[in-house]
Amino acid sequence: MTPEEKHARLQEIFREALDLPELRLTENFSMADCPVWDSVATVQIVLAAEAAFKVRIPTEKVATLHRAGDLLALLQ
Amino acid sequence: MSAVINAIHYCVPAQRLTQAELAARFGAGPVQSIAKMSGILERRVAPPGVTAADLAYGAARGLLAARGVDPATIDLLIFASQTPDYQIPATACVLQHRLGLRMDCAAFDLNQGCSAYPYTLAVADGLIASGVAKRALLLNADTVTRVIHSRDRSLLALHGDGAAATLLEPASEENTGLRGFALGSDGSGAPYICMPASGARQPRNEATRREKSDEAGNVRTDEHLGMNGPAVFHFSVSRMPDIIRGALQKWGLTVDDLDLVLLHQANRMMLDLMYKNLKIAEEKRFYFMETVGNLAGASVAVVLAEAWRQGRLKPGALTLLVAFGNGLSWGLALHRWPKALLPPVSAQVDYVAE
Repeated sequence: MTPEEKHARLQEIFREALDLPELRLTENFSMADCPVWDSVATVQIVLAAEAAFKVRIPTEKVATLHRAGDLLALLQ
Repeated sequence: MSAVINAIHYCVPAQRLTQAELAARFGAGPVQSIAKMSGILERRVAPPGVTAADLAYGAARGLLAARGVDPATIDLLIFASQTPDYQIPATACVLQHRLGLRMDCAAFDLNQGCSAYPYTLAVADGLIASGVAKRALLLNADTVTRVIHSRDRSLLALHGDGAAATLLEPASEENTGLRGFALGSDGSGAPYICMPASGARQPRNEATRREKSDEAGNVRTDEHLGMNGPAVFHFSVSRMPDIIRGALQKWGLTVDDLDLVLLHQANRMMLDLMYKNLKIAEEKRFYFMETVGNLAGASVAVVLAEAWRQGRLKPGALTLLVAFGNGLSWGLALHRWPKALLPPVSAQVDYVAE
């Protein structure tokens, strides 16, 4: 999967978890920007990303996940 | 000689915190979002003045009366809680007197969170096996709602208060009772569920009373319980299945050998993911959180008591108890029920002040 394809797949995951079908995902998109991105959404995003990219994200990284760029970096 | 669980009973406050009350406080959307994942629609909340020890006392009194147990025959009392009556003295000592137990009854507290029940069973099992005790009363209780900030919806929506009392005695049938334990911890995750200003490390002062909000708008101070929900959820679904598989392998068992698998009642989606990962059949699953909430240290004992009340325990069957939570800490206990399985304790569960 190319970085562009990964970005596109992650954007789908964020759109579904946050119920924001028009979301344009950027690296700087963060919980602070988005009132519906709560801890429940973080769990949904992490589990969906682990399944889609067939990776296990370390729990300590999940603990500090506040912006899309944090997750993209882990998936590169 | 192993010990066997011969009775268990639980007690919860009569007061309920409903979805409607939470929605009025925090808005319907966020509250529904949490409920969709947690499966928790109502919580039992202890009113002011009622402590975990009171609920434990209620559970113990109900158990002793229903089984006709003379309090003078109890020679070990363990009170497991993270919301005790006092830092000093041990709440177990206060309960020894209140329950009318003998003065040569060993009584002590065990400080452990949601993983407390297997730890309590393991300690009592060891004391019975070594001959120190013959009849143990184990009290697992917490009033976690008392340490959650009133504007922290992420925790308020999940937790309830409750207590369970367990009667543990030497097994009279061979190969029954507690058959194995697996206990563990990973302190690198201690900050994930923590009440920072709750002991000697961070003394309480004006700064620890200052309110702060997280990105989602949950308010708390350093004197309240805080939880990194995503980290705890992730630890539970990604690490616990491997820990359970490792324990079963050590015991020479597979999930097919288990008749019932009871997990800490933290969150319905979390439990479903764990059951699915372990390939536990539907008929071996059991849930009890929807109407009481996550009962922290009492959770696994209460779900066992409720499973017994609902007829889910069978003579000769093998039950695995799985608990996990703050620390991070986890515990597993394997129990085979006697062929002469006693009926459940059918006393009332709602707390009544005495």
